[in-house]
Amino acid sequence: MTAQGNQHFAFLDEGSKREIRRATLKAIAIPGYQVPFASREMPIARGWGTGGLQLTLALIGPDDVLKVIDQGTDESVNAVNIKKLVQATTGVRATESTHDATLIQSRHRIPDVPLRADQILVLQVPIPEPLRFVEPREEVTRRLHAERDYSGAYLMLFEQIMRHGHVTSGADHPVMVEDRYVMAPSPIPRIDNPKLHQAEALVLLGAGREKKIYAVPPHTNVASLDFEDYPFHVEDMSGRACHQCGADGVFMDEIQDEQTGETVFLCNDTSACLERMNASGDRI
Amino acid sequence: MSSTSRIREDVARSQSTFRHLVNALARPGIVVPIGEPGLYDSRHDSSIDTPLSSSTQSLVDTLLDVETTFAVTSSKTEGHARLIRERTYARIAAPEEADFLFLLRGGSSAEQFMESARIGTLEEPHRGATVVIEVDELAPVEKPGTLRHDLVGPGIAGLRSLWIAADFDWCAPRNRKVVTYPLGLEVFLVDATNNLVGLPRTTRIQPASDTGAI
Amino acid sequence: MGYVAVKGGREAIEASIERLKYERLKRGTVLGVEQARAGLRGLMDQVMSEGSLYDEEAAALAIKQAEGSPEEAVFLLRAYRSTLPRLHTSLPLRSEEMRIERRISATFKDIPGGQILGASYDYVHRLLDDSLREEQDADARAWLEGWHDAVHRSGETGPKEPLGSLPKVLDYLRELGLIAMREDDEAEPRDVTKQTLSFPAHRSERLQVLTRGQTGTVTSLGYASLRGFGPMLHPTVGELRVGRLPVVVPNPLTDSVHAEADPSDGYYLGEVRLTEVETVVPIQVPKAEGRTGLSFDLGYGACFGQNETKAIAMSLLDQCLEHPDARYPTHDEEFVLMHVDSVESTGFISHLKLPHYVTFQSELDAVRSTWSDDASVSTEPDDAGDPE
Repeated sequence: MTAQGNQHFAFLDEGSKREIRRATLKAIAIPGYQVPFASREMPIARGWGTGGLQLTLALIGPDDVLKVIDQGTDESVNAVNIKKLVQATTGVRATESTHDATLIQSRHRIPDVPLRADQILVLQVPIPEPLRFVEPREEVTRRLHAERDYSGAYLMLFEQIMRHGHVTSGADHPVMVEDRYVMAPSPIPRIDNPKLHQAEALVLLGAGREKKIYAVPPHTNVASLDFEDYPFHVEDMSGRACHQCGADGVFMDEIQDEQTGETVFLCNDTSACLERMNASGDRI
Repeated sequence: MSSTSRIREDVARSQSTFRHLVNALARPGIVVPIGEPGLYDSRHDSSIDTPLSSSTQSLVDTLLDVETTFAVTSSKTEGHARLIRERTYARIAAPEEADFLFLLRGGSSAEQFMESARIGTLEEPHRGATVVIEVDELAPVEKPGTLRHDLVGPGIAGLRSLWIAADFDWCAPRNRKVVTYPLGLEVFLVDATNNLVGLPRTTRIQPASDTGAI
Repeated sequence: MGYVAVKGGREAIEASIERLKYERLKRGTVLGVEQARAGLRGLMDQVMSEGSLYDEEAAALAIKQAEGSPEEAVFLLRAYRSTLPRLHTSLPLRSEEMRIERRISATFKDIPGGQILGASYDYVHRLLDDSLREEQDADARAWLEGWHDAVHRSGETGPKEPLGSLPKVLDYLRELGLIAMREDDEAEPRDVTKQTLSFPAHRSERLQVLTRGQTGTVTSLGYASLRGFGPMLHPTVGELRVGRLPVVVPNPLTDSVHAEADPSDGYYLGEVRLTEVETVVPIQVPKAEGRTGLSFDLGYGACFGQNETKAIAMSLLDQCLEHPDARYPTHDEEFVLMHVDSVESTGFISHLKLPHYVTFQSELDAVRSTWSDDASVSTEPDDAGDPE
């Protein structure tokens, strides 16, 4: 039998999909807990979203509408590459509109447009283990989760406060899920963390290289780790407004205007920004 | 543009069944459709004298394969076990070892069957079993013969009610198995009219006639 | 008229793919798949071993498509492997039954069955051969004819023992009482491609990860263990075998999880060519009355194809990892096993090329906020620094 190249719907054979599906169901049943799975090699490299991709390929059906974003934008090279692969192996319709999508795969952002119950968000995760920075060994972190021993995570935040006067974790600020598991929400900015709490949509997270799938079901309690006297705070977007659509309070990209040399801010969620501009009918 | 793959019917069925299972576990207590008649229905296969209900068949086809183990108790345990094995290559195991347990209509010693199911370990809670239980009726509204059950927990905004008719008590044994979260197991209830309800271990469920808060 | 998104990502990617194709075709000739299979045996064996897929046609195609890059060819094979349904597990291959093509031992000069040198680069002089520039297919066919004649003529003086049942050198050492007899470990092996590797690792997982490992990495780490990043033991190659073994799968419908598979009820699928190495390592063992004696420990290496350096290095690492020792990275299971895989390591390194703008923006915010209280200190370069 010669190598015919892949002929399966959604690239993977049914056995691979079944294994991912079994792991996904257990992940939904145990919110925030990382379920190990036999992560397959994908036609895109490890570290480029193979975990999220395997989730998408196991979930997707011919009637789905797919949106893929990377760092907030649909047009980034990574997002386009993933979208191409999924479309080539499924023929599903793709969209840039968060409203129209049924399945959204994203690297490092949760869309600004609130998601609905009929939508599933798949987040790409580089390092699923929130305790990895305090403990490099998997056998130890497994035990820490088993014993609900999260002193390491709190210690990390405590040291930041001692050194800098406040927490300095950027993106991927750890969260506590249903008061049982500390979870790495993936490198989303802190402003996105609250979107996980009591959401309408199911959020699935996949780490291909580390071979873990985890989940936050809808209507689930998710709290960013903090201390009573040092409560969790999001990135300071005050005084910033999007140069194009005028929105404020959303996560923004900082751009140097080439001509004037001044710093301007643009919505990081480009499709949401576009929708605002088209809805308002204004031209800037 | 890209070459579109025409999706095979069994592949499409597994995918849509899986999406319903995802929805059912993510929103415990909602009733989802499962087991629409499709390519293979063992009830219409004259060579099989122990067919499975189409809901159970759907679950078997979607979730089981050579990498999983299962145990069955039903009105025709041996026949059903052989059917599942030959169709999926999944291996038969004792209930205390099995990944999947099928508590089908007419099965004996349901309570012991449930009691022996795996609940995982603190380091590997995901190894808790998945139990498929055939009941008489599942409905999102009151129906004659059904009893209201109230559910709270992740996936449920506030409280959700569900009406169930079953001829044996599956709920108390299930509740005993999930009392030490994160240890526990997952239950899929299926009825005779292709309905399914998913109960992850996080769901607190009580029949409404019980006194006492959830 | 509404606003539309800035496009360009897809076009840029498509242009890049075209440019890549140009690189492969720019000299006006293409490498035939059959040529790759016939003439690049070393690369084929490396790629099948690291790709963990014994399929010469797929390997040859991958090598052609990847322009000979082992990193890319292995990636192609692994991704292809991901699409193949895995329905069966074969019965264990018994290497005593290997149809030998090469078999040597560094322990004794005379071993039962003899030292059979076979095809190896060990005995050639590494001198570039200009005559190969002019070699044609016709030359190959003519030489093969001569070869087959010579083999045919020497038919009467065959090997001393049938090549399909040469005894293991280590069994000979066991009979002499120099190595301890061990019981076969009948535990079900684990499969890291189906169940994620966890620590402490099962020995079956360790061997599987090593055999799939990147040749260079396994070699370097094996080398390191010899050079002193290890307890300075002097291993000896007890036996190195290259040859072919049949692959048989048991009847999938026989009984339950715990039944013994009956080989006569199985199905023959074909044969694979393997390299197998068993290494003996002298170690200290405790004796009575608090004294120590010496004994032999074993290391095992095996790979698809003829990959001798890798198999030997693998056997060294097998022995190292059997004895965890915090002083040496080659004795640290997590260090070795998490970093030898080609696809995993090259993938993650290459992911650094992906945009990290959002995480960087968040870090920028965090960095700024640590200085915002200090009016006199700024991280910004001297600018017309108007406050925001």
